[in-house]
Amino acid sequence: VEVLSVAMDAQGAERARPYVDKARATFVTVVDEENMLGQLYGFRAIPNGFLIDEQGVVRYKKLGGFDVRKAETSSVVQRWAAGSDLSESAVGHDTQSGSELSESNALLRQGLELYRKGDVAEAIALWRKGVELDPANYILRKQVWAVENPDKFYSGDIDYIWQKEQTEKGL
Amino acid sequence: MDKTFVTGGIMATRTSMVVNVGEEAPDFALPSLDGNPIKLSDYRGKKVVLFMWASW
Repeated sequence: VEVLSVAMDAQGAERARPYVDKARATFVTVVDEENMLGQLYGFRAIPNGFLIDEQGVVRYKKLGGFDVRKAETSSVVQRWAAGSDLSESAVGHDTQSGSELSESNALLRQGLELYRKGDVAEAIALWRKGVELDPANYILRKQVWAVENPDKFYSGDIDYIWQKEQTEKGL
Repeated sequence: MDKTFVTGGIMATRTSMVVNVGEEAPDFALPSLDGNPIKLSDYRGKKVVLFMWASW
């Protein structure tokens, strides 16, 4: 079994790298700055896992709570690797495919072009429009939080209490 | 699920999709941390754990 890890980080590889180093990961990590996979696989939040067989067919998916560093996840992976059928093949809720998800992801990509040019305030303004269009798009929503408040994400432990407050405030 | 190949961050389709168990996993190409292009289909013939996460 091979792991292909995808960091959904609009800020790029340098944000993702410390986590990969810390986990001493031996697998490949790619970076999906533009949330291509959220659109292509249909999800609005992470962490997610898809177990794909030798022919490229999805045999299991878990939306939310899938983490290769966790015992529960590695147990599922090991059983599947050993050839057993998994009792539950789909765990978690599918995202509703709708125009608001496409539109908020389009704003993510447009904002990213500005962000890469250094127009951070204008990027955030576009991203906020995307969050308004689709508040359930946590790939975009949390990315905005991280750009605006790096201290809550990148200096020590991630502050989940603060995140809960942001959600409650509708930010 | 169509088999539209998506590369370089350009969406071949703007329609949002859901990938169900039993369906073919949509192929994609993304850069590794070191900047090398990696395709899901590079892994054909092996079992793959596709794991999405983020720093936030």
